[in-house]
Amino acid sequence: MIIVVAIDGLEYELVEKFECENLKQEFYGKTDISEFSEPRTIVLWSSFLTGRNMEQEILNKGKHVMWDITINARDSFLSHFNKYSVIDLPGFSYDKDQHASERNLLKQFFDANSEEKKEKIKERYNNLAFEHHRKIKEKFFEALKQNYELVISYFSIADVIGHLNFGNNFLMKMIYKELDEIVGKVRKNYKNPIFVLSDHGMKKAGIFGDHSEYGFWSTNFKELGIPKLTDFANIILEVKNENRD
Amino acid sequence: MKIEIKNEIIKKLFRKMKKEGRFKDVREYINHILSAIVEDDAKNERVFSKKEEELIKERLRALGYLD
Repeated sequence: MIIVVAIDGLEYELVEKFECENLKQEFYGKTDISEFSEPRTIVLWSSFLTGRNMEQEILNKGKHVMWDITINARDSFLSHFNKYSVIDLPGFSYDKDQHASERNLLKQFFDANSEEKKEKIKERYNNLAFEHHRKIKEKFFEALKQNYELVISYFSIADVIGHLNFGNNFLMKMIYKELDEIVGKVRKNYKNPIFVLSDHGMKKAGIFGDHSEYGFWSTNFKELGIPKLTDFANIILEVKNENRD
Repeated sequence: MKIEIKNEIIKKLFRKMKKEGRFKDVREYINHILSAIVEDDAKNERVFSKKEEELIKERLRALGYLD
């Protein structure tokens, strides 16, 4: 079984700053996403799945339907696997209602005309994100117990919370430590090839968080240099072939 | 209020407290850490400027999060 922990908005510099040794695994670095005009989540994860730059194709569909895009497994590296589980990944198995609710609260936050209202909306927004995170974590550890060839689980918490709270060092550290603990548990219990991968990182914009222009990768088995996000389709297939009994 | 703290955390805290050398016991050290967190959190909760808000809204629109 190959395990991919897909973490939205995981920032290389914060992984270093908060000393997240599990997220780093044995080998780690930044990914190159310079081929994309903007680090858009849906574009990046869809491109990861297909192994090619999907930016124009997705933007041509219009930004209102952008988040509803579902890549056919036949057009992705998943087609090389007989049995896989892909949990909540944008462009494939994304929980559209959940993430639409998050974007709706984000809009409400910026539309609110008083600090008091903003604070209340932020609390609902944060709670919604944490509640979803707990569900995904449960599904992920359940999937790992099954007989899959590949498990990909997407964690959105660092990105979602980061957009409104990136200036809150304590909260961000807590999230990074939580993600580090998840990967730590996987490393301890599964001696399989493990990838930790982000679409992009995050940088400070006042108290808010904006996407940074590189992503994060780590593995427990191989140095990868500065790979493109679109290289991972082939990298995962190579690992699959190397591990074939 | 009583809060249960894992032994392994207490041991680590005790080692850190010894290094710092200015606290009489772990209880005082824990209270100091929690106060620092609450104060730090309050600093982070500062009011943001209209300009900051407009800039991030613009970025979130570009990234597809806002219309």
